[in-house]
Parts: sequence; structure tokens; C-alpha cells
Amino acid sequence: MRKFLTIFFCLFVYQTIFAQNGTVIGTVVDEDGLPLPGANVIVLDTELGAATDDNGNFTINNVPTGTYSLRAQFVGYNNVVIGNVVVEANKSTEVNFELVSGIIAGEEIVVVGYGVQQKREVTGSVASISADEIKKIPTTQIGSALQGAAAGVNVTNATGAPGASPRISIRGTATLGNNDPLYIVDGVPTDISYVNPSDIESMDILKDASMAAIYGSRAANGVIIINTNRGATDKGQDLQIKYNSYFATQSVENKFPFITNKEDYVKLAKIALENAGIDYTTEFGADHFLNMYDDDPSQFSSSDWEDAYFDNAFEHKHDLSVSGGAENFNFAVMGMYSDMDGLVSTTNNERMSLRLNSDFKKGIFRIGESVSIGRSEGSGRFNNLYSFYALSRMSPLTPIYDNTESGYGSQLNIGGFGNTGENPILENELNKDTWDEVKIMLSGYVEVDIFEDLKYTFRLSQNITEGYWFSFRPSYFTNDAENNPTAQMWETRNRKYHSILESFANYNKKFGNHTVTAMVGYAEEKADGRSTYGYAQDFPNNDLQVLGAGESGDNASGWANEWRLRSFFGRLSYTYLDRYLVTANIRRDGSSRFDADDQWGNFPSFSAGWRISDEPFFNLDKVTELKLRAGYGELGLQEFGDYQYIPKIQKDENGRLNYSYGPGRDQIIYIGARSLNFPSVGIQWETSKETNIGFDLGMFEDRFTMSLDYYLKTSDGILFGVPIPKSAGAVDNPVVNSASIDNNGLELAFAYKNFDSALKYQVTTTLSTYSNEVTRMGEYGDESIWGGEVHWGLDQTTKTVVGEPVASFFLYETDGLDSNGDLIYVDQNGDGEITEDDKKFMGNSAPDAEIGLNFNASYHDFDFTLNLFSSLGRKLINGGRWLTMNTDRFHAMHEDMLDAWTPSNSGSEIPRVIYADDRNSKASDFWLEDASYLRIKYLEVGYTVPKELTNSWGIGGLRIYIAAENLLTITEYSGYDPSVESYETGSIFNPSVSSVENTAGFIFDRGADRSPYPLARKFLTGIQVSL
Amino acid sequence: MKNFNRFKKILLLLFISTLFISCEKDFLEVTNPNDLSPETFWKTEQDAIKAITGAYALFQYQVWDGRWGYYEIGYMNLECRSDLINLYDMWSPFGDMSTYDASSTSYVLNDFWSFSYQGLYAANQVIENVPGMGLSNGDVFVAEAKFLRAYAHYLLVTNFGNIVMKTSTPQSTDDFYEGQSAQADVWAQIEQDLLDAKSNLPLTWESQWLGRATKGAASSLLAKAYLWQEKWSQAASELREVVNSGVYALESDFESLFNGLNEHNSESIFELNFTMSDAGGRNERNSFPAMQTDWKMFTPNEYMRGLFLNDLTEGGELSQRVNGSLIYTDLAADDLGAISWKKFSLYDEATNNGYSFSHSGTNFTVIRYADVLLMLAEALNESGSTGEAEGFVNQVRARAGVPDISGMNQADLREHIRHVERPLELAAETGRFYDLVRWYKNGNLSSVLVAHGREAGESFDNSNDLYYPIPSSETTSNPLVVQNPGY
Repeated sequence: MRKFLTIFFCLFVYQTIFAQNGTVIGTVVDEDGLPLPGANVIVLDTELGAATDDNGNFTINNVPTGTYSLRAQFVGYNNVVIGNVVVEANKSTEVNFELVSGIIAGEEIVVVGYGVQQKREVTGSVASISADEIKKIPTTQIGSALQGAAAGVNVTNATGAPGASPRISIRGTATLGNNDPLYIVDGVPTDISYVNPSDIESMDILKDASMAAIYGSRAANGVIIINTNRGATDKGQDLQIKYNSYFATQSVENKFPFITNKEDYVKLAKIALENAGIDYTTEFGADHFLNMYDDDPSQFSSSDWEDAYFDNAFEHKHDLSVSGGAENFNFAVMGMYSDMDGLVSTTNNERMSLRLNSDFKKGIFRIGESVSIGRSEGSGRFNNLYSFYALSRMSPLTPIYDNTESGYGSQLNIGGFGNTGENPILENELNKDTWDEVKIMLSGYVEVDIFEDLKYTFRLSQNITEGYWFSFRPSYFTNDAENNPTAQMWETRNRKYHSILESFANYNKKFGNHTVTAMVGYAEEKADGRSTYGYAQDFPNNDLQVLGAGESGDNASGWANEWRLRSFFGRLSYTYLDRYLVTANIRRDGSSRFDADDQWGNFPSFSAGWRISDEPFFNLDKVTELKLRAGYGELGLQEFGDYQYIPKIQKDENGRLNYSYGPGRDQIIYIGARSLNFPSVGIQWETSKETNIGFDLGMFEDRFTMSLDYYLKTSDGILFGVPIPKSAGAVDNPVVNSASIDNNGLELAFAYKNFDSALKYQVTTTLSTYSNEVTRMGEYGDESIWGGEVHWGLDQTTKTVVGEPVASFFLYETDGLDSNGDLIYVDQNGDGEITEDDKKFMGNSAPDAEIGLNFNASYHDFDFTLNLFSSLGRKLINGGRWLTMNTDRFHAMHEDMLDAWTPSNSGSEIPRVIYADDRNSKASDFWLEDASYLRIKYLEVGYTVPKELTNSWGIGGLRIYIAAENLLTITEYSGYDPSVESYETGSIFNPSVSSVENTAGFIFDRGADRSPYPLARKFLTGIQVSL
Repeated sequence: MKNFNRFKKILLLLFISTLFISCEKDFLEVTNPNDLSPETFWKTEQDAIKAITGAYALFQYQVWDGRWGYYEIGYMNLECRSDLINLYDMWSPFGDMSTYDASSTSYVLNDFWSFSYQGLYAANQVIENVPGMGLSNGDVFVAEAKFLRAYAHYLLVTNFGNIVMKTSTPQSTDDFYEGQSAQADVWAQIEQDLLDAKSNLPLTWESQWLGRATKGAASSLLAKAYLWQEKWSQAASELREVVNSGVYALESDFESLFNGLNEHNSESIFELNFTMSDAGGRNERNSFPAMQTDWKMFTPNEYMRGLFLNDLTEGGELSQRVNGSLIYTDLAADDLGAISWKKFSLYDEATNNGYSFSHSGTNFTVIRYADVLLMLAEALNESGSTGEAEGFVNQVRARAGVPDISGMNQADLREHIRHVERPLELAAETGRFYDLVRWYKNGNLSSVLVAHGREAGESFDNSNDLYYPIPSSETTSNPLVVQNPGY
């Protein structure tokens, strides 16, 4: 009996162990059918799993009978889960996986400055943007592709002119000077305006101080790290050749409502004069345009100046790249050519670039280089900064072309047009403004693996910029009042060298449950710039456009500038049990822009993170990742003139210091000199102190990911020229550490993707809020800076003071029209008069929130992309409307004036028109409009030709697509473009002008829409070929 | 062995790489190649000339490019409150100013204030730096700078009353913020500067330097300062020095004093130089709009016209003063609006040299000998020497070609000098309103304005309207400065 029982028991056990188990076998391959060795296949909700062998086969034994889900995963590929796998006793069930390459959240690599970190270990706030997302939007400018792609990153176009770079700012307004972040391309701090977006492989945006602190100085505005394509060593030996090309047409998205009809115009002019009590028939002469019109209306035209000014524009761009590698080297060569017309009929921008990256490995050494050359040439950009103002000076009664010697019409001879401008079409077509700039980046490095865990890198780089700008105004004669008797020419050349040397070491070691990463390094940078300028006039004819041909008025000038930077930096990261993370950075920078006592600044940061999802007590299956993080850091900025602390004695180029002694009227001029301004003594680094807390969440096999960050940033000692008393005797205000701004905001990003079925899709949403407040401005609390001037002659509209955001609108409040049809201004202080004291703050142009929504989907061979962007709570002063509803003199008029108040149209909200009277044209909220908008930024439909077909043609892949950019903007704003900021203050020809002088006006002019350029709607079609 | 080789390779690499890393101590020191610095300037006489030139240049008030600066900021804001003018078509900044209702936000006042202080800064730079240069003629430069400093303070105190006095360049940011000084202290400083200047300035300059300050200029300005403070005998003795120096004499052709064809003549004591030349920017030009054109802002008023109509020679003709001051067809019958001032403007082909009215090289005469004579007469009269005073008035009248005056008592002569002679001789030369202020600052200025036909003068109130408001740019940035009463 016992024997029987034993056997029975054994059989029972045997059954238990074996009889109820089955096996799962299968293969894991990639999208090309190649096996993936070393992939993991896991049976979910169990401890069972196996790895694939060299042929991609796996076997999982002893799987209890039942129904399971299996997951295959491999680094660099998206996980695939197959459910409903039935395991039967003693049977093998076959499950095969095909993995698609992609990034698994948590294991992606983030470039963090002098090194990399795994995303799972990052404790600060980083937004990583993949190459696919950047390449989605065909453009020549990286900035255009970024808007809405990352929370906290705000992109605005200064002008829509071809070749204009968008302004990118990260986390609000940290400084009153230059708000541009630091750009690093392939490890080199450089200018990204000529980087071809198609070259980019990855982009990481370091948003908070704990991440950016490693770049210490200059990092207070955030850091954008870009790595371009370098080829690959581990993807087999095949060369990858890719060709992309697109063709696009652009047109003005919406026209400005100028009155173009002469009858309407004359009718309004007459009403305006009548309301001013002027009888034009008696008070103006017979040569006044109204009397001439009454006499014979047919002698006048109805010109549409705007129509003649803008044209549909054509654009095309071509990229070709070859990349590849073998076990010991990889390389990539990328070339680009693009040609883009601007909407203004004579503007154009042509670009070309070539980039060559390669890396070689032998033994413990790795050597590589990154070289790029970019050239951009164009016409018309600087001339057209005032395009709208020029259009606003022209009446529809004036012919554009006429029977004059020059062939152009003029209104300067028609009586009654006060304060008019010159024919802007003549200026576009005759004046020649061209520019040509080349940027070269050279960089080479050597890396040594000193020991297994210690690596040393040495890198030398140089950026060379060479630019040239020339402007020629030919002689012409339209009539006695409008002509240019002598042709004139201005030419400027400049060259700048910027060299960087870096030497740093990385250490990375795992001791049991502890991982330690350390980095220590040294860098130095220097930049030298030199410019020359020449002017001549009196050219014998308009074809000889070189300075030497000018016969008089010769004038030459030139200048030079330089700066130096020396830095020491280090980082230490410690991870315990892979879930407790701590990182500290420190950087010490010395800059030549400060005097000897104040040159050095120290910028520390510290951050910590906790991967809750890796805790043993954490048991929510659906959640694959939950990480909390917090950080604090101090960063610096020193973006202002190079010699501010050095006292200088100048001669004033404008001759204001010159004087002539001696009798007569044609005396010799003596050059005078004196100190014009006070040096900025004792100035120091601007510092920015930032605290950031956030969390990252991944759920449902990382189908759903989310990041939420909240930041508080205080910028202190902002370098700015706050007004000092004029009695001190200087011309300008010395730049001193005089202001402080607080910024805070919330950033939310989440993404959902579903690649499991034939319809694969991915939705990414970003939400950013920004809020800032000035906490200090100068020595005494009530200093203020005015700004937001739409044009000379109209009042300023913004005021920056302590306690309010930068550039807050400061306007009269209006309350409808009175019984005469004039605007009623609210008397806030009840003193019976409307004075400056009755103005009040009315918000600012920064939006309350920005929302980006990107939707990508693919179904079999078709793919679809939709990018939406919305800005909520944004306000703008509609400068274009203000200029054209100002009846100060006769010029272009706005269509709204046709609905102006008259006794028979007393229900109107538009004030009545009165000639030469600005009572209804003060800086009031009548011109302030809600500029919130929702825009379909980009819409694309593509088709990938099936692989079998393309392979039979001998090519690897072919995709064609059609797309539209700025398809639709839904907004209540009545100006050209609710997303506009004010002018780009161009100065490629005067690099010695400090960036504070260049951009300070820009900051305080935010919110005043001067209608620089209409927005373009673009339709494109393109093709992508890979061989 | 392999490790050791590797180690050697690494050492070699590190060694090479450290060669690149420069260990210059002064890597971070840069010098500005574009401009001079105080270390490299203030070395030779050329530097001193440049510095004093820079100081003179500021009194041209060329606030913006192109040349209208002087006319608006150096001339109109001083002339627009005169009681001898009729407001014809005032440009917008001057509308309020000319009716005694100026605003502290006026750009004209702001520019006038800031340029005057830039002038003070430039003058103080010379005063502080030239003595240490060891030049043989260093004293002269310092004297010129002191003259200019006094002139700037004079312009400021007579226009704004309560001003910040600047006798040194700011050495630290605290020095930017200084408060206002009592008027008496400002006058004392002006007097001291002019006395110092006088002792080192030459009597005359050689032709190529005409326009620089002279002893006579310092004395004349000092006399004006004394007259403001009613220090009659000191004024008289200063003015006698000028008269007795033998340097100056009245020109026989009155019109030539102002038409730009007779600059730095024997009557001119201090002139502001302008030139037609294009070199170095166009800011050395002047622009007095041809008074006869549509740009005209003001004309003489009835009172002034009445005076001119009575300024007759022995033979009953209008004197050369009338012709030299006005453009008219029939002085008695013309509409006021058809008459124009002629002084300093270019209005006819003969004097234009083909240049338009706004590109002129005509200098502006700040102080001339006729003014000195009339000031001396005033000072003597106030001290009781009426007879001698009449003599000096008659010198001026003789040049004009009109008969002498005689037998006046002190009160009559005072009225004559104030309301007949000085207007006839010196109208439209910017001094008039300041004369009225110094005579009537403790009296009834309003009634004078009204009596001479300036309606806006009816509400003129000595406690508020004698001086312009301090510009708001100063009051908002300088907490130590207090706005003038009434603004």
C-alpha cells in the first residue's frame, strides 16, 4: 500500500509539475523580419519569461495552463503585448512577435550637457523631442517646428519675412535683455538659425535650473541641446540615403481692411472736415484733392496698395543625406538647398547648407568631428520692417504707376495729403537691399576610455560667421516733391570668430545597489568680432552698384569687439536601488564683461527624484512609471554689451560733439570728444534662482505618459539701464543690476499612443501657463519704463513697474460714445479732467495659457498629422487699426470708419471721424483687443508606397504627402495675426551694439502690434525617398 | 603590460591637451578698441581741444539729427514767452509754453534740461582733468570750461529757478542723485566761475578760433548775473571793463549783425557757431525757418509794431533797426500776420547761397555790445547816475540813426530802457522774457504782459509762472528733486 501511495504521490506531483503545464515558443523579429536576439518575452502577471537566442527564438517552459498575455520587449523598440494566449497541458503554443522600433519611456537617453542620463534617472525638467516630431513640419527654421511641441516653450515670429528667425523663449520672461536660450549643437554653443531641421536627430530642452545649471552662465533662459544625425554603427552595414523635397505656395492669410474705393474715401474725408468745422471749398485752394475731385472724379484712381505690395510666394526645399557606418565608425553627410520668396513682392531668401559628422573608434580611443557650413542670402528683409507703416500713408486716390519719369505715382504733389510717405511700391521695386551670411561650425573631439568606468573627452570648436549687407537707393525722379537726385549706397561687412575649448571626464560605476556618476570639467571660450561700414553717393548711373563708383560723400567706419569666458564645472549623481535619485551640479564662470572684482559667479544646483513605481510596495499594475522629482538651482546671464564697465571717451558719430570755430559759413569742423555715458561700474552677473517640482507618470505599458511641472523662478540683478536723472549729465542710462522679476508657471504634457491595431495613433498635448511680476526696478520703487509705441506720434501703451508684469498695458478706459459720437474716457479719479492719472493697468500680452495638441495617426500605408495650437488670454493693441483710424491727416483709412458715428448712425460703436483731431485717438482700451486664438498650425496627409513596389523599383522607401500650414486661425482679433510680437530689431551690421540695446525695446514693445507682416498660409506637397 | 601602455598613451594625450589650455592670467581682461578711455585720453593739447570742443558743441542743442534742435530747444523755448510777440501758428510743443501753461512732460523742456546738464558734465570733465595734464595753456581751457559751466547754470536757473547745481562729475552712483540748490547759491557759483574764468581768458582769439570764450564774454555774462541780483554797482564796474577794453564797437550796419555775412564782427561778444559744411554729420548746421514762410510761428505784436513805427530818424524815416529786424511791405497797414521777424533767418537769394532756409551756417549771437551798453545804462540809472546812463543809451540810438534822448529822470529812463530801447534793439534775441522776470519778479509782471497785448498774461501768477516746470523725467527718476510750485 505504501508503495502504491508513493507511486501515486509521485505521479500526482509529476502531474502537478508537468502534466498541467504547457510551453510557449515563438520568435521575435523586427519590422524588416530580422531576428532580435536578446529580446525578453514575459508572461504577464507571472514570474515567467525567457530571452530570445541568436535566431530570435524563445521558449518558455512550465507555463501552467491558462490564458495569458505575453509581452515582448527590446531596447529601442516599442513593447508588444499579445493577449489571449491559451496554454494547454503538455502542448506548445506558438506566439510570434514583430517589434517596431521606437522609444520605451524610461529607457530613452537624454543628453544633459557633457554627458547623458537615462530618462528614468532624470530629476529635473527636460522635454525631449524626437527627430520625427521635428521633421514633421517642413520648414527651414527649427523654431517653427517647436511651437506646441513642448510645454513651457513659447515660439513667436517677429516678422513673417523670409529668413526671419522665430524667437524661442523658455519659461517666460526671465530678463529684460536677451531672452534667448542657450543653444548647443553637437556639443558646441552656437547659433541655430542656419541649422537645417532635417539634420536633427534629437533635441532636449533643459528647462529648469537643476538641469541647465551645468551651463551656468548664459543658462538662465534655458538650454536647448541638439544632436544631429551621425549615422549608426549598430544597424547593419547598409548605407542610408535619404532625399526629401517639398514645394509650397504661400499667400496672405487675411488682408487688412483698407478702404480701396475712392468714393468711400472721399465721402469720409468730407465728413471728417465737416466735423472739424472746416469748409474745404473755401478754406482750401483749388489744388486741394477734394476740390479737384469735385471738379472731376475721374482723374483719380482707386488703388489697392496692399494688393500690389504682397504677392503669392513660392518656396521649395531639398535635403539629401547619406549616413551609415561599420563597427568602428559612423558618418553622416547632409546637404540642403532652399529657396523661398516672401509675401512682400521683392523679398526672397535662399539657403544652402552642408553638414558632415563622423566618429571613429579604435581601441580605447574615439575620435570624431562635426562640421557644418550654412549660407543664407536674401533681399528685402531690412527694407520691409516698416511695410505696414508705408502702406498706411497711401491714399487709394493715388495711382501706383503713372506717366511720370520714374513710372510711379506720387501723392506728394496732390494738395491736402499731409505727412505722406513715398510710394512704397517704388521703394520695393527700385531700392535694393541684399544680405548674405555664412556660418561655419567646426568641431573635433577625442575621447579616451581610461578605465572601464572613466572616460575623458577633449573638444575644440569654432564658429565662424561672416556677413555682408548692402543697400542701394537709386536716383529717380517722379516729380519735384518726390525724387532722389543722387544715388546712395551703404555697405557693411562683419566677421566673428567664436572658439571653444572643453576638457572633461565622466565616471560611471555601479556598486551593488548604488550607482555613482560623476563629471568634472573645464572650458574656455572667446569671441572676436570686427565690422566695417562704407557709404558713398553720386553714382553716375544706377547700374554701377559698388562703393568705388560713388563720386562723393565717402564715409567709412568700423568697430571691433571681443569677449572671453572661463569655466569650471562638475556633476555628481547618485542612485540607490535604482529608485532614489540625487544629482548635484556646480559651475563657476568668469566673464570678461565684468570688471576684475566681479568677474566670477558660482552656479550650483541640486535635485532629487523618487521612482515610486519601482518600490516594492507599489502594486498598481497599470502604472509602469511614477516618479516624483524636485530641484533647485542658480544660474547666470551676462548677455549685454562687451565693454560696459570700461569708461569710454567717445566722439559721437552723429557729430553732436563737433563744433566749428572761425568766421564764415563754411568753417572747418573740429571733432569733439567726451565721456557720453557713465560706465557700468561694479556690475555683476544676473542670477536666476529656480525651484522646480514635478512628476512623471507612465501607464498602460507606457501607452499613456504624463509629466507635470511647477516652477518658481526669481531673476535678480537683471542688467538694465533704468533711467537715472538727466541732471547727472549722461546721454544714456548706465546698465546696472537694477531689476528683478519673478516668474512662475505650470507645465503639463501628456501623450497617449496606441500602436496595437491597424490604426496606430498618438496624441500629445501640452499645456503651459506663464505668469511674471516685476519685483524691483531701479533704486527707488516708482521707476517705470514706458513702451509699446505703435509709431512715433501715437502714445505709448505699456508701462513696466514694480508690482505688475513686464510691459503691462496702461491705458485709458473707454465707456462708449457720447452724444456727439466721441469716445468717453472714464475719469478714474473723479477730478473732472482726463489726465495721465486716469490711466490704469489692463493686463499684458502674455497669454494665460498655451495649449498644443498634436495628433498623429497611421492606417496601413496612409498617415495623418494634425497640429493645433491655441493661446488663451492674450491681448494686443491693434496698432494697424489705430494708425488707420487716426484722422490726424489724410492717409489710408480703415473700413470700420464707414460705420463711424453720424447723427443718422448713432447706434455705432465707432467714434466719429474728425479731421486733424486726436481726441478719439488716445492710448485707450478701444484699441486693445482679445488676441486669443486657435490655429490649425499644420495638417498633413501622407502615403507610403508599399515596400514590395518600391523594392521592385530599387529604392527602399517612398512617401508622398500634401500638407497645409496655418490652415485656419480662429480668433476675434481683427489685425493681421494674433500671434505676432513686435519688430525684430535687426543688427547684423553692428555687432558692437549690445544685445540689451537691441532687444530692450523689443521686450517693452510686446503687446503693440505694429502689423509688421501678415501671416502666410502655406500649401505644400512633398516627397521622401530612402534608398 | 597592456595596461601600462595604455596608461602611457593616456598621459601623452593629457599632456598634449593641456598645452591647448592657456593659463594666461589675464585671459579675461579685455580692452575696448573702439573708444578712448580716460587712461589713454587727457594726454596732449589735442585732447584738451577735443574735450572743450565737445563742451561747446552741446550748446548747439542738436538733440536729434538734422539741425532743428537749436531752433526749437535753444531759441524758441527761450523766446516764446516774450511780451513783444504775437502768437501766429505755434508748433505743438510751444502752444502751451507760450501761454504760460507749460507741461512737465514737454519734450522740449526735457531736452533743454538734459542737454544743459550734458554741457555741465562736459565742462566739469575739462575742469577736473586738464589741470593734471601739465599743458602750458591748460589754464585757458579750464577758464573756457568754467565760462561754459556758468553759462549752463545761468540758462538753467533763469528758466527753472530751482535747479541741481553740478560742480563735479559723478564718481559713484550716489552722485547721480543730487538735490536742488537755493538760487542764491547758484548765483554765487556762477559769479565765482566767471571771475575765475575772466582772469585766464584772452581778450580776443585769432581768426581760426573765433567763437571760443573771451574775457569780455565772461565779464558780460557776469554783469547779467549781477543785474539779476540787482547788484547795480558791481554790474556797472564789470560792464565798464568791457567798454574800456577797447575790443568792442557797435557795427554801423545793423542788419549785417544777423544775416550771417558778417559773423564775429566788432560788436559780437559771444556767438554760437554753426556751419554749412557737410563733414562729420549735418549737425553743425543751423535752421532758422525763413520767417516769411509757412513755418512761421510768431510775429511782432501791436505794441512792438507801435515801437517800431516810432523809431524814426531825424528825417522821419524808419530807422535801420526796423528794416534790420522785420520783413514787411507797409509796416503801418500790414496785417500783423503778414509781418515777419528777420533776425538770423535766411530769406532771400542774396544771403541763401543757394541753401534752403533750414540748412544755414548763420551763427547765433548770444551777447553783443549793444546789450552791454544798455545794461550799463540800466545799472548806472539804478545807482542814480541817470545822466551818464543816458549817454550810453544814446550811443546805441546813434548807431540806429535815431535822435538822442535827454533830460529824463530815473523813473522815466528806467521805463524807457525797459519798454522802449531794449525792445527796439534786442527783440527776438531770446533775452526779453528774462529781462521781464528780473525786473518784475517781485512786482506785477502780469500787468506788463497784459498792457503789451499778451492776453494769456492775465492769469500770470508770479508765484507759479516765472519758471518752467522741472521736466517729469527728472522728478520721476530723482527723489531728491521737488517740482516747482504750481505744476
